[in-house]
Amino acid sequence: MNVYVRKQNIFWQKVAAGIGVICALILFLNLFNSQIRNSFYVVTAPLSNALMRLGANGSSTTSSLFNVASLKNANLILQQQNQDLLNKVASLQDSVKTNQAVAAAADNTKNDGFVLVSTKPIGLDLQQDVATIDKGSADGVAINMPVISQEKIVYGKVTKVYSNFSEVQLISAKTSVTDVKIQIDDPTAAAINGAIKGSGGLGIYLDLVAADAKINQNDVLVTSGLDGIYPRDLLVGRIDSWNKNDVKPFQTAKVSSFSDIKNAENLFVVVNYKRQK
Amino acid sequence: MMRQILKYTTTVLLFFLCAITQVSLLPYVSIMGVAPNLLFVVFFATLFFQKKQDIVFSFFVVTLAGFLLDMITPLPFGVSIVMLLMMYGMYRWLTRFLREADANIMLWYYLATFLGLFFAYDILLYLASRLVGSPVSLGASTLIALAYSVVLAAAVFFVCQQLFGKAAENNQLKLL
Repeated sequence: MNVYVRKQNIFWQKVAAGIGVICALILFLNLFNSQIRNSFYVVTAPLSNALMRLGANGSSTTSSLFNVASLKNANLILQQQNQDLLNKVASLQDSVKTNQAVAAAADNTKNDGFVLVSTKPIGLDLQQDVATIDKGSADGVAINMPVISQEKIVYGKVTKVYSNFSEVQLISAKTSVTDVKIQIDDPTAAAINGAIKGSGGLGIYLDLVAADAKINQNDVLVTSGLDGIYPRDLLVGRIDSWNKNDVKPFQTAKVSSFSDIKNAENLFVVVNYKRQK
Repeated sequence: MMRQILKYTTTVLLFFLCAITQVSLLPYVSIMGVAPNLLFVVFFATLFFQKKQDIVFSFFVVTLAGFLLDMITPLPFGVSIVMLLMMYGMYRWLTRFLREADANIMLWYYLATFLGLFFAYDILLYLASRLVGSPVSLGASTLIALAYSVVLAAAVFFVCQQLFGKAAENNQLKLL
């Protein structure tokens, strides 16, 4: 009996000691949060980057398994494009590609006067739609700066910044709301505004469109600039279908996002746009 | 002593590799925007395939896995560590009623325990993420993640069985 009690005591002493150590560790981790996360990203970035490229190369094969219906059509177009691209990719080094992206982005944004910082995504948390990029405060990145692609497609905004890395909340995150408008060719027509909300899992939808507004399939959505986070006229997505209900004051719509974080090799942080907390 | 150093070093490397894979490679094999939780799968398998319940090593694994889960999500440090500590407590509580094992039921016992703990973990994660203002989804995506992770857990089970099979069969737990 005494032996049993002693064994039990030792067990609970170990448990208490373990919990104590863990509490101290949690305190330590939170005190040096930025430094620890930054060091982790510095150490893991090369491997993480390599695995992301590997995943991007293999994703076309995987995704085709789940999209058999559209495979034929897509395949015909892609085969031709792919051959061209493969030839280009094989002949270009990574730095050359980055330079090209920078040049394309500079060309696309020359009228906007953006100052861009080129970056690469090195991690993706699908549970919360947060991407990690390889630029941080040392490169001039700050919280709430918009992140776009070279084609001026909006990806998200910076939500956490470390010395050499940052976390980007994608527009598909559940807590993300982005003010948008429907791109209209007719300059005399009234603007149709709405809000792009994230539905998680890299999905987005359009909400808060006035009930009397006329929405069409394939309408292109661009940022309106009203939220103070994103500059106006960045590409967001295309309307797939919409839901108009006379009872509800607003219309909603399914939207195909232009952003493709899984295959994005280069992104750009707009560092000179006004920011609002 | 050398065996212990090797054991802890291997565990650290394995979990680091899993964490990096989870944020870099697994998003490309997602189904309906959901990727499996490799770190949790490996965490559970490590507890399950321990030859004997080594509490110091278990606490080490809890801390390491929790730290890495916190690292790859925007949650503050400590959230995942505390949740995995609770999962470990639940695991110990579940295995109180179990004894030496029959290899035939081991997979089913393993999967049932995994399902229970993973579901509890998802609910706790949802509650914790709401508290810190960075909510994760709970719904269809949770079920997909559950199903996907169970498949991965089964694969990890067979790998572990090949690696530690004979020893584990002789030391595993079973229902009374």
